[in-house]
Amino acid sequence: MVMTELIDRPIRDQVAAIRNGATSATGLIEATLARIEDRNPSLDAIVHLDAEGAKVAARQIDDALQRGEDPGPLAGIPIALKDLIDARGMPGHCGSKAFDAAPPDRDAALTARLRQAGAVIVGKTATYEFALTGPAWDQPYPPARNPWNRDHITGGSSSGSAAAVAGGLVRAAIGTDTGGSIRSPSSYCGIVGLKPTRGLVPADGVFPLSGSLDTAGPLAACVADAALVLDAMTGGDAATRLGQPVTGMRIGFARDWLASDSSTEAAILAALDRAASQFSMLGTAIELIRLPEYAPFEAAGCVILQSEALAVHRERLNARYEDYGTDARRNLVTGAVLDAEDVAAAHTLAARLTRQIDQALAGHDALIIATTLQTAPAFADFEDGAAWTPMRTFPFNVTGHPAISLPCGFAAGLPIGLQIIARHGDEVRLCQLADAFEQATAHSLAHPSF
Amino acid sequence: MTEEEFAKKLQDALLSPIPPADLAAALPSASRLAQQAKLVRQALADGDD
Repeated sequence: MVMTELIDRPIRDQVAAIRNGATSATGLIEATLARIEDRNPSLDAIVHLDAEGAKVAARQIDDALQRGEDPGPLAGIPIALKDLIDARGMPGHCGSKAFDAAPPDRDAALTARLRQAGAVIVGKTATYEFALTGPAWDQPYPPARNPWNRDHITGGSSSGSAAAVAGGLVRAAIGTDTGGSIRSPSSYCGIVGLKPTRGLVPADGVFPLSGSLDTAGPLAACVADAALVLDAMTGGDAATRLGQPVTGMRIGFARDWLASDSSTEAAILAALDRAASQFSMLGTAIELIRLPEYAPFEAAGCVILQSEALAVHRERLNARYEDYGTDARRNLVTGAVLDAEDVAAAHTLAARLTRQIDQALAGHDALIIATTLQTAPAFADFEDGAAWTPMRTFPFNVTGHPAISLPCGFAAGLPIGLQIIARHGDEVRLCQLADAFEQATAHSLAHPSF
Repeated sequence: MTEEEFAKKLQDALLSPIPPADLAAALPSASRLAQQAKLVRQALADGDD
């Protein structure tokens, strides 16, 4: 297999090719760097490229294999990190001119685990400023562009990670998700985004937005890639039931959360109906269910997020207000309207809502819903500042349940995302169901043109 | 909420004064967030497990 084909193959095929000598980690990295050089200028996905560091790490993988050692399950696999995640010696900006700390002298815990598994960290990907608001032009770098249509946004805040994977620069990148920041860009860009159970991936070395809601996780070209990368970060077993039948599983379709919202595009609802039918053909039992009203989830999430974000940024805002981007600083100061009782009430409500989702999942193996209610908007929609992008991701940050977004169709040339939600800690079943859907459809095989 | 009330809340939250243009631009979002906080308390009062 020539390298131009291997670079677009699943991670397990790439690892196998490196292990059996069909190629080398060095060869894969060189091909990846060439791909980045060719495509990144039109995507602005990768904002710091560590080409030399990646070549050194790849040589170390090759040397280890030559000595007969096992370099790990991600041996030689290139992975990029969102510009909120520390990597030893690599500059980080959190997408802000207000953050100019020296490069860290140690890896984030998740970065260290990826390296331990054999991954090669190739660089940092664009983020919305401090994981807030939307695309902006007063950040240290321009916003990433959607590979399916460069005039459209990627979504965010893991914007560069999504563009890098959808554009074929890397098979997997790491993002963070506080209200949908892994899943919504994955939906907009037609890739897989996995937000694990809250607390599963270590947060040490990841710049926080809201400690109660933040979760790091993989964005990947297919479900199997996402599961393998997640397992490398957690020591878990998300990939163990990939390819196994899902016959007999019960799935709750929360269609009402889409149909009752006038902002839902007709094509999204139709795609979700087709996805439900597809699951039915896979032998699962699909049941329409009514979840609790949506608005309280969003309200609790907003109160928790804005109060915690202000606490993180208060000192920096006072010292460097003008260095923040306009949208970010105007967003952060809104948290000042909240008091301690507001925040306590939001946490109490979040606990109740969590129990209610637990109850819905007690009778089902998983829930399905759309990730976003519309396809990726155009940059032009943001010319006057942040624009509303309706989605259905925030509830599962509030409740901490694991959720995955994967492609389930297109509308006007832009991807649509299906979201699957599972019980706390059940990433195994989550990935099994997502993989079964992916294998039964051709959505993940579509690639943007370059 | 008026701009003056919002400015007072910024002060209470130990934030330095911000430019008037930012105060005016952030006010609608701040008001929406205050409404979200009210919705939270209402949902707690109305609902049960």
